[in-house]
Amino acid sequence: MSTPTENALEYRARLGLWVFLASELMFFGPVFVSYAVASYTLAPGFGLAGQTTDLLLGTLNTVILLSSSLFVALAVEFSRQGRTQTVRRMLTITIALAIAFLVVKAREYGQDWDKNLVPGYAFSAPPQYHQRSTELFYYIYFVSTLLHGVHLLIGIGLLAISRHRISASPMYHRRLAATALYWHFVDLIWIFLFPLLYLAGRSS
Amino acid sequence: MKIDFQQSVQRIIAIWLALVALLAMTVAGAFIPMGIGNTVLSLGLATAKAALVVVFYMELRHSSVFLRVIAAVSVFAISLLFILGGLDFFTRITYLAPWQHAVPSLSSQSQ
Repeated sequence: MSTPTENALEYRARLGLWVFLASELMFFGPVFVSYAVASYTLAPGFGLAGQTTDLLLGTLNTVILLSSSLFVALAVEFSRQGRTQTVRRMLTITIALAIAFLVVKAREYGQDWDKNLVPGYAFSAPPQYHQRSTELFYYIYFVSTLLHGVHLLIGIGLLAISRHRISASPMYHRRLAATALYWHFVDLIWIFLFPLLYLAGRSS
Repeated sequence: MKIDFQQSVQRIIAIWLALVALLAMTVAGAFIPMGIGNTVLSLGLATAKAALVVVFYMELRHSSVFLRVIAAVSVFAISLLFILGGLDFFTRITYLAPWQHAVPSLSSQSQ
């Protein structure tokens, strides 16, 4: 039995990750479908609820996450060259950005709590909004952002392991490439959550 | 090899600039009243961002046909979820009973 070549091994790792991410997409799918159904059947109340989220913090978090994707992509590129010092630096920045995202999100959750926007517990939207639709909007807001947050935490763990076990070996490169794929996926989910949760109803 | 590497790094940074520019367009576009056009625009720009991430950052560009098929099938599967899951809601006409409010009742809820 011949041992698989390096290319075959990298292909295998990428293949496995892509299949996993395809199943992850189906995991997030129902959240997006429930948003679509709610915004269609509860229009316009549901759509207007998007005005009550914090656009500034949401946009900031989007920039943070897009930038983290930049640095993890750079890390993969430097790892291909075996430049471990630079890889470490890139991963440190990525992890710092990921933590910054969580800090901003936690601050936002705090604001939501103060404004009684947490569904199920003394929920009360500002009087000009429709209460039931806005509450449903916040159910979806919390489910989707918390689900995304859990993925982000897992991602931070994987990045921290990648940073800790840094080496110039092909095996390390494969693992880092797989971690980066996962991280980009977490970014992808946010790219779609952002307009739905923060931009809906802004023009009216 | 060296030039390839430099080009890759430059491309990665260029993609990031494009992503941030698209984000700025998304946010600005959301404030222009266009009705349903707002949803189309913001989701269209989100799809453009996602495409950049998938093609360049996730390196689908250099990936084998089989990986591209997997990516395409996952998009197909989620669109099936949308179509089958939403078909009833999106095609149903709701007839209101005469005594119902035309919009979900504002009066019965705590304001």
